[in-house]
Amino acid sequence: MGLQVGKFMSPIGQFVQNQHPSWINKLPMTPLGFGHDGAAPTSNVGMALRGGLPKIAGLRSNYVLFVANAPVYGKNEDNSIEGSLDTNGKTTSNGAQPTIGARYALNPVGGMEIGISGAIGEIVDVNNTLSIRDYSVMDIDFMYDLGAVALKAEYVKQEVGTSTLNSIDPDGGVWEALYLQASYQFTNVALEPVVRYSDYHNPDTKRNQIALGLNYLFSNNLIGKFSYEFNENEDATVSSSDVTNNDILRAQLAFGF
Amino acid sequence: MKNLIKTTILLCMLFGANSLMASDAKKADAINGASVWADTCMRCHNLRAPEDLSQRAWVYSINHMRIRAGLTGQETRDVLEFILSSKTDADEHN
Repeated sequence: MGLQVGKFMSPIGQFVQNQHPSWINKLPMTPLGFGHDGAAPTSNVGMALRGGLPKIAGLRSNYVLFVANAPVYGKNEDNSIEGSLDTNGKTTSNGAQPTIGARYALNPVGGMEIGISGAIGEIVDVNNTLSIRDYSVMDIDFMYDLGAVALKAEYVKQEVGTSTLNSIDPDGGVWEALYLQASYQFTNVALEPVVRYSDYHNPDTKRNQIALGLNYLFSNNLIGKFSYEFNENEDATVSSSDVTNNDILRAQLAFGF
Repeated sequence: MKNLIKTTILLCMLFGANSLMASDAKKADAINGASVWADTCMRCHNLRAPEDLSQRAWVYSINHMRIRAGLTGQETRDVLEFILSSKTDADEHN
């Protein structure tokens, strides 16, 4: 059993806590909704108890239980939603109930993990600390390493409740994101093609992305990455030349210590 | 909400007791360590060769990965035993 006290990566799901380092992430960017201020919580300040469990019916599994300070919520001055749900670990709950959550993951066969996680608590409005709303997050994640082929998928949903004390955005909202990823490591050349679909919805926007990547493995921890992202804003009223509709070519050199 | 907190504390105690019972430490088993290493590490990242890190750095690294990968104490000791026993004479000075 391991005990974490202080600030730690959010135990919700697997991308944020395990896949985000550049030498591990197969593409230069995070999936839509899994970066900062997205649908997946980023970090917590609190306490977590975690570890592996004894085999059950011959299957390995692991768990995390955590309690942490509440996140904060608040629209920007221009009433835009970007960054309004702040799930970076806070040193105070501002009078809100702390976030209590758990993750349980099962390893049905070698190389596979299926995880389910969630948390509940309250969230305080950054501009009105008397306005405290319900907050919840749930997540399902999947990883399967088949040797040359690696499959990864995750769905996360965060929900901010209603507020009768705040005239700004009294209805709260839902932030949800999904990604599906497949990669293949050739054995005779140090190349690894990757394809990933990601989808991100929040109260203001609906976007999706198909990313194609090609990695060159100088070594297992020194990786040159190239990707091309096809981005689409699903809101038909947004101009096709808007930044959220732009396709992007990226290159990155990643080194893992 | 108070009931929820009580339930969570109770669950923590149950899991804690379970883990304590499971911590009946056995001698590190490199063969089981190899199996856990193969099944677990590649799920997230490319494998690191034993010579990539010194013996001391592997101890820190494996204890860090115990948290990240959700390993039991015994599995952690087994993987460390496998890694260290796989180091070649050439990098033994590390």
